[in-house]
Amino acid sequence: MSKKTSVLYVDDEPINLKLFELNLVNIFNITTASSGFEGLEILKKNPDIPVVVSDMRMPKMNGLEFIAKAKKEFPNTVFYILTGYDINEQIADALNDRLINKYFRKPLNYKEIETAIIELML
Amino acid sequence: MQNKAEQYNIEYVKEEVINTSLVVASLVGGLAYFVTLFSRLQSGSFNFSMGFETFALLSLLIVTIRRKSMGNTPKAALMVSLILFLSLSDVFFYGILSTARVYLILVPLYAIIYFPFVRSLILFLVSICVFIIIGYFHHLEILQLPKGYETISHSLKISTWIINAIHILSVGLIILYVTRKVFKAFSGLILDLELQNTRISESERNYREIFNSTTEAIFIHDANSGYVYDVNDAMLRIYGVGSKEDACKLSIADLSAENNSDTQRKAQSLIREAVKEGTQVFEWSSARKNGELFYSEISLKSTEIGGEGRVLAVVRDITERKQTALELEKYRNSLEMLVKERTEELETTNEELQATNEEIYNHKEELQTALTKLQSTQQQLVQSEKMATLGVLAAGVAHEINNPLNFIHGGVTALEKYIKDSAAEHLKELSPLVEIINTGVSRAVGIVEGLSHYSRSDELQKVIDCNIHKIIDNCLLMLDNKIKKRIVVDRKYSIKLTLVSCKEGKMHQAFLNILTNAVQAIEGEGTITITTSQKNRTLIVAVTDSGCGISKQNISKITDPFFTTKDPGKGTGLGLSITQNIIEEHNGKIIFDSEPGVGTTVTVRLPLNG
Repeated sequence: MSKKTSVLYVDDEPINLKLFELNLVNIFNITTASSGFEGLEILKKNPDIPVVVSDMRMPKMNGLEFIAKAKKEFPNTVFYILTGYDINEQIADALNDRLINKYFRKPLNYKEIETAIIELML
Repeated sequence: MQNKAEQYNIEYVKEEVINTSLVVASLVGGLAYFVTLFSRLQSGSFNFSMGFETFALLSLLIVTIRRKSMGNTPKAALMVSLILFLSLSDVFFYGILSTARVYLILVPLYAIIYFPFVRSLILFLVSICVFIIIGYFHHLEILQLPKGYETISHSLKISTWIINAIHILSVGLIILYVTRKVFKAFSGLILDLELQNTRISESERNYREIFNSTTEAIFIHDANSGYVYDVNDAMLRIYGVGSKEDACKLSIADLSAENNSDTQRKAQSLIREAVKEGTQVFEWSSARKNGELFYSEISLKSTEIGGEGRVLAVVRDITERKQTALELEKYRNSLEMLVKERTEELETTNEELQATNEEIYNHKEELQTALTKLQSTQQQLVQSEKMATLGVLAAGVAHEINNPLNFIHGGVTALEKYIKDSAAEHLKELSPLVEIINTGVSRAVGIVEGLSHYSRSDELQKVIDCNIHKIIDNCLLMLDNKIKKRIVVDRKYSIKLTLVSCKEGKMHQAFLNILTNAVQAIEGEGTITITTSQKNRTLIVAVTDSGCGISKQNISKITDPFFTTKDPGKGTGLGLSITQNIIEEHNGKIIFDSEPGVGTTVTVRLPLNG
């Protein structure tokens, strides 16, 4: 593997950000953002980040809202969403609209995310 | 009757005797007078005695002719005077040769009939004395016999005169005595008769008094004809009849309410019955003379009065009694009517009450049913509300717990990695601990996942037509590793198509839970029988296991969230609760039947598609 894939992880929970980084830092090049707004900022600065993983529930701007905005600007970027619930209408719609590639259930199974991203990058 | 009574009257007898004597004396006297007159005319010897005789005869004739208008005493006085005159004058002229001297005997006879005894006796004795004096004058020959009569010495003797006098006297006294005795006896008899008569009439008067003084009307009927023979005063008063004579002219019908021949016949037959069979008592509708009607009680009694068959009818006016009785009867009837009416009213009321009661009872039952329904509905509502609330709450809690769980899981994952990479020498000691933490996390994750099923957010699964057989088969496939070599699964599927409109994922989950429970209930080897059938557009799926069964206390709680009898870690207690939710969400029903030690049957009913 020549270069680690860059992954932006958006979550309002700093511990989650930390854990995500800790668990996947060896495999991916992790950037974290604590809100959708921050995530958009980072994407603007680094438009070449190919994979974004966002938590669903966040204050002010939730995961899907963030993804919807980001997708407009960066249509080639792949977005994943994390949810505490089972699939819901919004997520189903987002999947149908190809807004997101996949959704992951919390608590995160890092192995699953790792596999999904690696498969995507192949 | 009147004649008979007169015959027994002594005065009447006396009058008859004197009158007859007068008539006889007149005839005989007249005859004797004319014979004497004739002989005198022949001899031409008239003396002054002829004048006396003429006077005597004339007075006798006058009295005889007028005998009816004269009293007995003067007639008797004349008779006695004539006898005295005739006999003594004869003696005066013819001395002891007188034939008429025997008539002196008649003096006491007539005297005693009409005069008191002493006077009669004195009169007789005086007459005898006069006879003796005349005899004495003849003895002294002061008195001379008429010419042609030869004087004999014997006739001049005083003794002859005295003997004659004694004979006449004795016969006269005997007559006097006997006549007096006869008279006395006769008048005694008469007196006795009169006394008896008085007594009888007294008693009769008394009877009549009694007869008349009763308050009841009494009729005396002829036993044979039934005619009214006599009545009492009360009858006149009660019937308003003027006199007893009038009353006797009336027939029984005349005095009855219905004045016709039938009534008369009936009355007569009653009288005959009274004669034949004894006293008859009966009630009768009677009528007064003025037409006024009244009720009477009549008692008929056969009797004999004066040797004749009579029937005594005692009539009592019972109008008042009858009216009272009638009134009473009327009261009684009206009372009965009243009672009847009241009873009917009561019965009606009772019926109404019963009907009302029944209605109330029915209402009560309906109410009871409604209440029961309401209660169960309420329970269901409470239950579903509880579940809904719990669902929302649980979903919220699950999400919130997800983050901390994520921390732990993430932390442990990182730690595990670190140990592998940088502290391999502690791996042996640390990996069991990490394992324990991971187990805890995965259990918590299971619970959270289970709870997340209550969330409404996942109601958005697509409803599609599912073949329940396919779903069951999928579930069995998932459980294959827990079934194989241990449990025999007997599929008794219905031949017909079993398409149900449902959310496929949820239906999978529901049947997976049911089958998982069945599998877990069986320790060691056993059988699971799955039967599907259709009835009235309802699909019935019965899953029967030969497992340990569920106790009676538990069977009602098995659908409660977090209720479990499984070992820790094997079940969250949410499976059947979720299953029930899913089935009910699909308008179905789930029923649990179990016998501990024998097994459990879970029956799911779902509406068939189409």
